[in-house]
Amino acid sequence: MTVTSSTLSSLLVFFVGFGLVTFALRLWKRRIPGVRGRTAVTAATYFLRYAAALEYYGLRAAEIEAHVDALRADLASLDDDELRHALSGLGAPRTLAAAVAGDVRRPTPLRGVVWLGLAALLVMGLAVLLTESFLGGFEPHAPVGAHDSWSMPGMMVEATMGPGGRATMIGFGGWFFVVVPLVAFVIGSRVWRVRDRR
Amino acid sequence: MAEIDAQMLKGLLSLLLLGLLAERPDYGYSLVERLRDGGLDDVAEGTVYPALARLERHGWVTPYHVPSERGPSRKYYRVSPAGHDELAARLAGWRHLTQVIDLLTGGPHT
Repeated sequence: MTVTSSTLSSLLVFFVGFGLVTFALRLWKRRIPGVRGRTAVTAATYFLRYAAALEYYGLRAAEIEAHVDALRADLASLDDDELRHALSGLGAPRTLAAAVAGDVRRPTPLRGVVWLGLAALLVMGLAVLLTESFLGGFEPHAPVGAHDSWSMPGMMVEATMGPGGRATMIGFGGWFFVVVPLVAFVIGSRVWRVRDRR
Repeated sequence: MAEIDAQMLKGLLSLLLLGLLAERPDYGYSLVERLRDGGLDDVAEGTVYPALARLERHGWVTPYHVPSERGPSRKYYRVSPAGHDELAARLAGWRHLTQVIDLLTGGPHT
């Protein structure tokens, strides 16, 4: 299979579209029934950020839902002005989450997996773009049977010009594709918190 | 009305919340309103919810859910037996402290 820049663009459009739809659905899930307009978006965004901050501190999904829903339920009886005032009184979602979570600091494996996926996508995208760029300079001028190569840290690609104006490629190494996502996973999942796990 | 130092209020918040919940079970925002009605105009929502979470972690209050007309069910808190003991201990400590303050500053100041 040949991965081209247009394939990458399609992938990018897909991921951005998927991200936007997911964001909109999450906002909808966090809304306060009956509240409309700008206040509704402000409140839903606050709850979304609060949930993300609680997740950052390592609370489990059920605990996060319980905290966020409790707050949503409390604020559901307020009118728009009271709601805005209450949201301002709650302070920054991250500060509130830190205080509510107390000294809980658990690893966040789910976040780690997301970071791993994004890092893998990034390094693959980078490799494809660089390879495309290399081939752009190699294929138009190389005679059949000619060899050339390009490398980046942890990876080398050797191309041999074949008939029909297309080169065949062999990749070597590839630790870059393992190490970068792995580092992203370690950082994203806060593995070191295992030490203070309660 | 005299201003109350934010740090002092933070230290006393657990005592006040336990006291209010000992009167009757309640939910977070209603407790904020009761504190304000009681004279703590500057109490912020952002201090009450973490204080409730601390009380819950210590086992001094027990949460339960009551279905709400709008949105998810509301989380109410009631004082647990351990919470009643804690409230009694804190009240005793507070009364002792106010006696010491009165003694050291020449009697109650009104």
